[in-house]
Amino acid sequence: MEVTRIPILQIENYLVASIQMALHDEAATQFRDDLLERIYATKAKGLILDLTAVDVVDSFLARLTGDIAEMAGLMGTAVVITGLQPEVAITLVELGVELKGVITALNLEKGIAALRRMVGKESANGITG
Amino acid sequence: MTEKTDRDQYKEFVKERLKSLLSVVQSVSAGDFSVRVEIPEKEDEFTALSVELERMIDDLIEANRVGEGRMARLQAAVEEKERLLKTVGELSSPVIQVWENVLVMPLVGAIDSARATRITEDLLTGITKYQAEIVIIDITGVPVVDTSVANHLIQTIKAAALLGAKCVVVGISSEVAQSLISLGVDLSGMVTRSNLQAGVRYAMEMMGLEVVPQKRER
Repeated sequence: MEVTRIPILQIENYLVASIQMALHDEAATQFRDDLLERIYATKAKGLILDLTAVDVVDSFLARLTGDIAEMAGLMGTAVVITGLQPEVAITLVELGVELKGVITALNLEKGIAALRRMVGKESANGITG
Repeated sequence: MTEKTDRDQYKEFVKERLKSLLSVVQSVSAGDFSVRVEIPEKEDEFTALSVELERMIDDLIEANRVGEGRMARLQAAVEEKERLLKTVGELSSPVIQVWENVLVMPLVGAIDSARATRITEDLLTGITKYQAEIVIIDITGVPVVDTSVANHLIQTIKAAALLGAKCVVVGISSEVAQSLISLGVDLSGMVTRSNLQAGVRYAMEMMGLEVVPQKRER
């Protein structure tokens, strides 16, 4: 069966992926693999995960989001999650998912600004090239 | 022979009277007070009983009327209370924008679980509505902060952080500080400031702004 794939866009040094549908487990895993491959291929400095259109999050998707952030972090890519809905945020907190080490921003614009700040700071400190 | 017939007649009569009384009692016990007891013109052994029954029904009707009046008053009181609670609910979690991307939520009065949920919802909705980056939660007016209130507060702050907004809690009184520490509530990661002014100053700093006195020409 063909698994739905989520488009991953590139702007400058950053990748942007916007989840626009309810992700079932298979599609979510596929998305994670695609994303990590793209990060490896493009050597992106930052990744924005836009969840504006997501209104239901289960524990699997919550954990996956945290995993993606950690994995991308290992590959030297800063991750910003944008556009979380209030209900989703409440659900995540109630599920006990804290998304540690993930930066969040209200919208795409602020997300990119946050990424620029982080990446800029790191290059200024000479941590990454 | 005649005597026996008399006795039979009497028996018939008693049966008849008891039947009519029984039907009245049955109606009354079913809640129908419209039935009347017929008091026979000729006095007999049942007259006293009928009169008493009649009086009892009157008393019941009166008691029922009083009860209904009380019920109506109670109903009105409950409706009034619901209206007030709604107003209190609307007033309970105001979200005010004090600067671009800076919100203040002043909390006043005791916080129970239902109110805490509402506060969380209103705050998160406010954050998305005003696109806030910093939220100052002022708990000067909250008399008691126990473990559950503290946990709700922490959850709200975490949820706000997921949206991308940073929370500052201001106005923690000495009693609240004491109780929080003795309860062993983990407040690590919670930014606190003494009062609203300090909170606003913190917000300004975080946004890279500063308030300077105007240059006046002498």
